[in-house]
Amino acid sequence: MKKILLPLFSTFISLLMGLLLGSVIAAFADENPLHILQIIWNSGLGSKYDLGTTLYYANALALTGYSVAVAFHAGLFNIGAEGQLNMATLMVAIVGLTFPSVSPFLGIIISFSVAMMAGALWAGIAGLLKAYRGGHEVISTIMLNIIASALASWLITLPVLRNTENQNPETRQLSLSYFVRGADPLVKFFMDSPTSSSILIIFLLAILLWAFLFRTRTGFAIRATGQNEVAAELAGLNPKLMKVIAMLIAGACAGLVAIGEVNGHTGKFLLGFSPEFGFMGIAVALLARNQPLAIPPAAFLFAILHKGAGDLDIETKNITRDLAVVIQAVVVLSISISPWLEEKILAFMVNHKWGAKE
Amino acid sequence: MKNKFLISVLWSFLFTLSSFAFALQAATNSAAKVPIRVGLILDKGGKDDKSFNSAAYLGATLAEKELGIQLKYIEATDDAAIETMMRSFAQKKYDLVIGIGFAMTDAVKKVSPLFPEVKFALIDAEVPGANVTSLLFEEHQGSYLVGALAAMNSKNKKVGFLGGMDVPLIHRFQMGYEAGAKSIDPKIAVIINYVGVDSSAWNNPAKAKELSLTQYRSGVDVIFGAAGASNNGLFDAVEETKKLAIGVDSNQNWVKPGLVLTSMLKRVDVAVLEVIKETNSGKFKAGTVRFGLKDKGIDYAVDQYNSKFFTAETSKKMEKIKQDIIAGKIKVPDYYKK
Amino acid sequence: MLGVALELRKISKQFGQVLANHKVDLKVHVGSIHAIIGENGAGKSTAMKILCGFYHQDSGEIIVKEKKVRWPSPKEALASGIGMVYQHFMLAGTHTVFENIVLGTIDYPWSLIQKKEARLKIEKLSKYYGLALDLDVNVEKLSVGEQQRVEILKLLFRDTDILILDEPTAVLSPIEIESFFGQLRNLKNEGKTILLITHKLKEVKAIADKATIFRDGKTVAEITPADFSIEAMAELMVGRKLVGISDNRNNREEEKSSEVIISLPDFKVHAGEIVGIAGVEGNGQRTIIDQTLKLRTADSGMLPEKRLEEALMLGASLYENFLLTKWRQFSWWLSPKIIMPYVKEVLSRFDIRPLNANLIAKNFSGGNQQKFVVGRELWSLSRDLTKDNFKGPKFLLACQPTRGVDINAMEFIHQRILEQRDRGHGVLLVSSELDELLRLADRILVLYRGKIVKEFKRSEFNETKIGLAMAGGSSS
Repeated sequence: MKKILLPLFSTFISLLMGLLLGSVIAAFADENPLHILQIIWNSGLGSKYDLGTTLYYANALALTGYSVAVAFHAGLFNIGAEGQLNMATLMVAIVGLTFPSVSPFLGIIISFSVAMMAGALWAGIAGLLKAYRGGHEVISTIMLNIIASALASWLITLPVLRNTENQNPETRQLSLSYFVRGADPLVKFFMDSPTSSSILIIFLLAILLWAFLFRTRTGFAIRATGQNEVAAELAGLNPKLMKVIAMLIAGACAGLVAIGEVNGHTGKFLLGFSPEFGFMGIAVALLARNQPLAIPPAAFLFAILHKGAGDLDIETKNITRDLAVVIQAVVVLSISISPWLEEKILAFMVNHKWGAKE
Repeated sequence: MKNKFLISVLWSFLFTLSSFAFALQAATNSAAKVPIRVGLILDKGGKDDKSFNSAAYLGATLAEKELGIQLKYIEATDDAAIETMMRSFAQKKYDLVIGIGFAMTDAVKKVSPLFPEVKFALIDAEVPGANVTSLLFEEHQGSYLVGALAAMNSKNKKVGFLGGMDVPLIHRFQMGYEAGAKSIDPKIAVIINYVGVDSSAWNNPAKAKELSLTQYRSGVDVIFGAAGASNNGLFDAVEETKKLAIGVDSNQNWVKPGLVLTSMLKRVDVAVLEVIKETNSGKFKAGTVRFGLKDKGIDYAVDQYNSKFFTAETSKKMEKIKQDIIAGKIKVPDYYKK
Repeated sequence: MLGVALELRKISKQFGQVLANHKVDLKVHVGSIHAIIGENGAGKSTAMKILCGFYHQDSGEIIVKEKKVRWPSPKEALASGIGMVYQHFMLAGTHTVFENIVLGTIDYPWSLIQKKEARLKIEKLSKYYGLALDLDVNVEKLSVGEQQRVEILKLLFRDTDILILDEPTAVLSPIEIESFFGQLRNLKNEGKTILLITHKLKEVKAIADKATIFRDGKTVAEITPADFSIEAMAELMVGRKLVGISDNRNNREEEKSSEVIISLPDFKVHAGEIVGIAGVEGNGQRTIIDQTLKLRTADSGMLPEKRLEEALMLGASLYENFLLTKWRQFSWWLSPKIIMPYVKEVLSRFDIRPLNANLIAKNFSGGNQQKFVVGRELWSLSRDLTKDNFKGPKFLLACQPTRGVDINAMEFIHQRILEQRDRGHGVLLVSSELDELLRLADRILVLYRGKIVKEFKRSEFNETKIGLAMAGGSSS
């Protein structure tokens, strides 16, 4: 009980600190802090449509959060979720445009496999470089991000892909075999908001990843690699392979953003569709402390803040969307003091004979 | 025991929070509602791009001052958020929502039918609808004019074009510019560069500066920048090399006095002001409006910062070309009708 | 004896919940070698770090040369003549001996005059104290013993007259230890005061004039080692009577089993045999360990040299640390319901406290960590009807198994290793502590410069001869 409750409590404190500092800034800007909170709350959860949009963000943030978290368990800092999700989305669009007339069932299967494979491949490059050539994953994933966006920028200009109906940098619309949004009951429920049934993936993934990391041999090997590579190697595990596997899984998770985007939202690849989901995923993973089961709520929280940010611009005179970013940043910073906080609480509890039963 | 304590603390916190929130909501709802409310959604360049978005913002703030309307603006830093913001405005029953730039096309297409009582205006792209007005500009005509002026001022017979995002709209600028320059000297070389292919190209002064410097070093002596906020990179480059630049959309002559030959005015400010005025007086008209040289929706800027370039002779020449275009004597090639 | 060089009076220091020092008293005379002895975690290092200005005491006072002092930082302590040589040397490997010694003392690095003066001073010092060194060699090319000399010269160059040495003999061969003691005596005769932190009681008896014994953060006794037996000192350190380990070999030659447990390129380990590898560190032990790791089967255990770096995941729970080397014995689905009872079995059998497998390894004391590693390695799921999971692996590789552990834990580990042997299993024991090898091994192979230069049977064990072989000398 203590094991779960304590981190939960200190996370709650970090959150409170973020909101508190946000409120102080709001107060300095001559705005009522409670009004600000109310705006964010209403914007994120105010209507079915708003909730749907929040869920759309939460979907992408959770997936990139998984991506960062899984890599982190192997001791790798995956900055590359952004490139991985861009690659995956682009590839799904390209494959979908190449084979337009398949059955919707096959279309979905193709989309899933292409999305996961493309993301995994893109992350796998960094994994291989790290494991077998010692190339630092932070550098290589940043480079791969840049390569991915440059590659997308070029491919998008090709006449076979380019959407000529408008001036946006995007691919043509995929056929209804892939773009299954119309048949999605969840889309109707959320009043045609950007979300779709793909949101269910993240709940499934939370359980799958938790079981994989904490209950299987390979998952254990990955975590042992992250904890102590030398000991893992001496114990007969294969840390190099585990790093590659971790990156492959991380990439596949980030790649699944493509499902919500292409199959569930726009039916095409729009250059720059992601407001840097990959980087926000790092914050989500931090907030969730890399625990897969904690990632969906963490992602939901950040999604509310991200969604609410726009309405701050509309509803207030002096506050802009940047306040939401400040709150996010303070929350992440506060997280870094939470181990210290937990220790203090634990010491306090010991001194006051709390939790003696445990 | 302690769990109960924690939970009760949490609940009391939430209760206070929500009760305050409700009280506030009640307060805001009862606020008086007199003037029309206008929501302005700017492109990625943001209101300080000194160009396209600045012009739109200027028009809107002018309307705010003149008509006493309620204005709110948002900068779209995230493509996925455009639709959400547009809905946000519409849901809050704004009277008029203005989308600046073609990136808003899909959002207007999707949101406008859902909110028939809200009026939508869209700059630079056409969307049909009973509550939508599309505001288009004849950019190629103005580009032809500044192209001619550039050729007149080029000693090396080499002029440059710096486009923002590689899209048909900017190709329209480019084509008019080329034709204008060639009308003065058929053998003149026109060097063309684009900053990028996605919407970040509107706001990448660093790359724009690199491209401009490369052009200037290769002998180009006038560059026409049609790149939104990226134009700031062009202006940095022109200051370093002391050559000439041409601004776009807003009057940018003041940015580097004496180094900006002129600015091709695309009076987004006028268009925005007009549409707000019409809506305010209940005369909003759906459909497409085209602004060109005739109605001064498109023009070139002459003021104290660049008057030294406009000798009597030059002014006369330019005025003649302008009148010829309006009269249809000069046919400016249009990329859209290619 | 001359006057008092320094004195600690009722020094107390608390780290969080832990009382590291409690009313520590210490009096050291000028020109003496004073040993600071105690088990791990007894508070020796804390007291010495307070003396050097690294930490500050919560209460109590320090008196140096009859003056009450309180250093803001180690720099001031050094200026007043107190310096410490740490167990892990602080030298810049790619720089010369000279550069390392003068580092930070020369105000104008471009001044040739200053450099010349410094050089003269160092040469004088090294001659005076018998610390011979080539000043222009890069430090990384020196042997460990020579590097230690550099560290000492560094202090002498800064006019230090109270030198604190932290476990200085841990890295030296028996021969080197002898010459090192010679150097210490030189220093002492020239009026320097030396504090020697150590846990090797034999050395205390050999060289120290006085010894202060630490136990549980307190100073329990100040003794004159010459008047005490090693056993008596050990009992003061531990605070109870020592039982010793039971060995039923009694030094008689036994029939060697012909069953080979593991066959390395240069030698074999047989069933029921402890093979000891002696040698100064860095003489090829790593190669033998690597060879062994390649050849080991699933039914083998390993006590690595650096347990923190190589055998434990400090940030993970004991449950996960248990799995680290035992995952092969379970299916691919790791169910805590099945595995947890086994972890608890290890914890209770080896008296590891606190008895909570969910706590992370970092929260356990060094001794408990070591016991856990030993327990884990001796555990294997029994496949027969006896249900005894502690019969140990068929082959055990033990590298420096008792480095850094207290006497209690040491005896415990020694006993377990002997049990392995008695069960007919094979053990390969790599150790730099000759005493340990002499006590446990059936044969000792001596490594020198990557080769096995000599083999001693138990009946031929002789400390001097083995020590000589370790230093590369041949005995006939």
